[in-house]
Order: sequence, then C-alpha cells, then structure tokens
Amino acid sequence: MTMTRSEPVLNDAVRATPKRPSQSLLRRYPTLIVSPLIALVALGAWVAAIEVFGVEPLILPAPLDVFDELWLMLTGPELYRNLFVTVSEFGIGFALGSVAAVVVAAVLVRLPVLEKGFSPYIIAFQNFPKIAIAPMLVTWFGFGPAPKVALATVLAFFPVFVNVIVGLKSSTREQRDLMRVLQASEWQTFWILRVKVALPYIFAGLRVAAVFSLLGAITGEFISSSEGLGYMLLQRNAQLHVDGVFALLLVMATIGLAVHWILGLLNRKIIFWEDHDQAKRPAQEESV
Amino acid sequence: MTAQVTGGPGTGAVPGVLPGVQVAGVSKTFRTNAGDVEALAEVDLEVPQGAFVSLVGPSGCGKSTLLRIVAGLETGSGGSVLVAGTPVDGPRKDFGMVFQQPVLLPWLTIFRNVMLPAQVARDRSPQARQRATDLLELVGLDGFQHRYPRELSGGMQQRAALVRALMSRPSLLLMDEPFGALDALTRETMNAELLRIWSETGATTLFVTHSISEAVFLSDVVVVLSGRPGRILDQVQVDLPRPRTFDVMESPEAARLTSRIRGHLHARGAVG
Repeated sequence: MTMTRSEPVLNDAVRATPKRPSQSLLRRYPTLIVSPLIALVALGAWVAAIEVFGVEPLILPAPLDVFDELWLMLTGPELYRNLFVTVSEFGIGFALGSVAAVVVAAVLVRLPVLEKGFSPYIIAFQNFPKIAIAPMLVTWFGFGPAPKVALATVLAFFPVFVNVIVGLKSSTREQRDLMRVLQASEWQTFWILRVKVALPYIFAGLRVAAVFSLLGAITGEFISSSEGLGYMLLQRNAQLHVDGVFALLLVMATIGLAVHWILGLLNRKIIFWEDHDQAKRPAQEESV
Repeated sequence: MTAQVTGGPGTGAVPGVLPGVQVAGVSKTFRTNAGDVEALAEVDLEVPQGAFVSLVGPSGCGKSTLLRIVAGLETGSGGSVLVAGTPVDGPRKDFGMVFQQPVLLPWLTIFRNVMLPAQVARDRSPQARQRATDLLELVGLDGFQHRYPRELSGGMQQRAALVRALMSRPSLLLMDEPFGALDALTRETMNAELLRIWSETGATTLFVTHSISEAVFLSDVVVVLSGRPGRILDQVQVDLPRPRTFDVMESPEAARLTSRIRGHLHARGAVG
C-alpha cells in the first residue's frame, strides 16, 4: 500500500489482512485431505463389521450394495419425482415460516408492550415439542402436501423469530447514540442500523430453520403420504429393503448439506463485513 | 488566533466575544439498584464561541456525562444548558459528535459512512458529496473513500468519524475521549491534525480526555473536574501561542500549566 499523500501519516498504514506464513497443505486444507480419510476409515470399519462379525445384510447392508442401490435410484425417475415433492414442501414451508417470522418479529420489536405480552406464550411454544402437532395437522389439512408444508412452516418459524428479535435489538449504545446525534427518525434508525445489525442473527436462525423444516417435511410424510422421500423410506423399510433405506438416508444427508452450503454462501455474500470465522451462534437453543 | 475560517456557523468567531456554551447549575444523579449515585454536582461553565475547551478529571468524575448533557443525549437532573443562546433539549443539527470509538457502520464504505448525516437529512445535493470529498482530503483520507472501515487503522477510522461529525458544519463539536483508544504516537499525530482542522472550521470544541498533556496542548481552557460527584476545581487558561507544535509542550509555561492541573488532581488523591 503506498500512501498517496506526501504528508507522513504515522502508524496509520492500512491494516493488512493477517496472512500466516506458508503452512503445510494438511494444515491449510484439512477438509480436502483429512475428511476423505475419515470417510475411508468409516467405510473400512463398516465393511470390517460385516465381514468380521457376520452382521446380517438386513441389519447392516454392505456399502457396495448401498451404492448400487443409490445408482439405481439416481438413474430412475422415482427418486426425482419424490425428491421434488419433499424439496417443494420443505422450500415452501421454510420460506413461509422464515418470512412470517421476520415480519412478526419486526412488528413486535416496534411494539414493546405487545412483545412483552406475547413473550410467555412464545417461550411456552418454543419449548413445546412441535412435532407432536403433526397428526392434528393431517386432520386439519388433509393428506396432500399441505400438512407437510404446515409442519415445515411451524418448525422454521421459531428459530428465525427468536433470532430476529434478538438481532434487531443488538445495536450498540454508541450506534444508537450516533443515530440520535444525527437526529435520525425511528424509521431511519430501523432501516439504516437495526436491520443491518440483525442480518447475521437472521442467518444464524435461517440455518437452524432449514434443518428443522426439512425434518418437518419428512416427518409429515412419515405420518401420512403417498409420495415424497419420507414415503419412499417408509416403503423400503416395510419391505425390509435395507439397501434402499440407506441409499435414501444418503440422499437426505446430501440435501441437508446442499442447503447448508447455499445458506453459507448467501451469508458470506450478503454479510460481507462480518468475520465469518467467528460465526454467530443461534441466539437460543431450539426444540423441534 | 490566526484561524483561517472556511464558513459555517462559526464564521468570523473571535474567542471570548460571543457565548458558545453556557452551562448553569447542571447536576446529574443516576438511579441505580444500589441507590442514587450523584455524578455531577452543580456545574457552571461558560465556553466562548470558537474556543477549544477540554474537560479533564479522574475516571467516573462525570466529564463524559457533562458532555452528553451538553450534546442533548442525556438530560441533567437540574440546571440548564444553552448553546448559541438556545436551550438544549436534544441533539441538534449544529452539533457534531465524536465518540471514544469511531462507530463507523461496517457495511458502509468510508464515503458512505461520512455521508450518513446527509443521508439522514435526505440531502442528495452534489454540495454534500463535495463537502465529504473535501473533508476526507482535509484529514488525509482521500483515496480511502471506497474502503470499508475494517480495512483502516484505528487512527484512520477516527479521522473518518471526525469527518462525519464535521459534515453538518457544526458550530459545536463534542469529542468524548476520541483518541483514548489509540497508541501514543498516533494520538500525537491526531492531536496536531485536530488543531489544524479546528482552526479551519472555527467550531466551538468541547473535548473530554484523561490526558493532561493532551488537554494542555489542544486547549484554550482546561476545565479540571473533581472525583464523584464531579464539580469544577479549576479552569486553567492556556495562553500558549497558536498555531502550536509539539515543541510548545517543552516550554516552561506548558510545564507550569501541566503541573498545576496535575496538582489539582493529586491533591484529591483521585487520579484515574
């Protein structure tokens, strides 16, 4: 960095991003080297368990059989049709629940009396096992995708809601003083300051919400359905088709990872000013 | 004083002529769970327009509280504050404030940060942009407009905060230990730059600091406050010639003033 002014600006060099001296490949990219190794070891243990202890394929299928089954699924139409159903239920529920949570939280933060009034019920519902309402949702919304979307929505709502409430209040006293000195209106302070300060919290909430609403969609399918990944899984389980069950579990794990990865990418793009090595933890523990 | 005044409400001000800040009988008591804490006891203070006045005192003497009351960020438990003859009942357009931390918004570039007062005032004029550009140049931040705060050192961030405070052409500049978080060398540089900028803007400046030498170097008057509850022990007139350089601090006069202020603080056994 060269200073453009001739005048000396003591001790004011631009702060360089700390770069560590060159480290070994292993230390720099642990996920590229160590993670595949761990997978290999796990696969080895899996195979060894079957060979050494003679575990029945009905209890634990051989990895190769699972991959064969996965390949069959990936090359046929059935998986994609059901994948689309589940991902839609999840996507719609996640979006509805998150948007509703942001709106309701933003309104409540601006009406503190109402927020206080609601808080005991919010805490009660937060700690309530929301999965337990799934059978009721089927009664209310029928057997189609609606009850699954509803469960995904309910499960997505609370983690986002709680984080938005905390996030919108997380500006510092100095930041609020600054806005007061500038004579910013409440509305300006909200949009210029509070929304921006809340974004990292909102993303922390979204990450939890994504896992929960995927869980909600699949649980909903467990309870009553004729399509979706949850339905496929139950079918194979009932037929003692264990290879298929394991293959589907791998598919679900991949969806979860993909959603995590997409949200992480959005997080880094949108909240570019945060130090993402110290990711914000969700403001509060959540129960499903 | 041979200040080159470049406009603003402070234009043509000669220290000691017009009233800048008038503090009369201001007190402040904080209510806490452990009982009432008296932070300020009946403070009277007159700051002439265009003057540079520092408040020094031990930690917790209420000097920041006094500054915040003058700024309109807090209300006193008693007494009154007039700025330019008008009572203060809240922050005003003609006030500029610099906090201990730069308080730059990390998602805005330096330019957008210093334009914040214009944004809040819905001033989209090219004059506002020009003023931001000029002021950034004045503090040596030209070329850093499009950087983000975290890419700048603490000293540079505080310069940007100073520019933001100057955007509204304040007649009163309030600074709450603005250089307290900087290292000694950066602090000295910032002191020299602050004097240069102050002489160019002509704003009445109220400056809170822990540092006696910083106060002497910068000020026309150093107001010495006692420990809690804060009351004024002395108002030390600093008649060192301006424009000042660091050499001025080597003079016997500076040494005499410094030891006089230090004497006040040590007599109470309350130096923080």
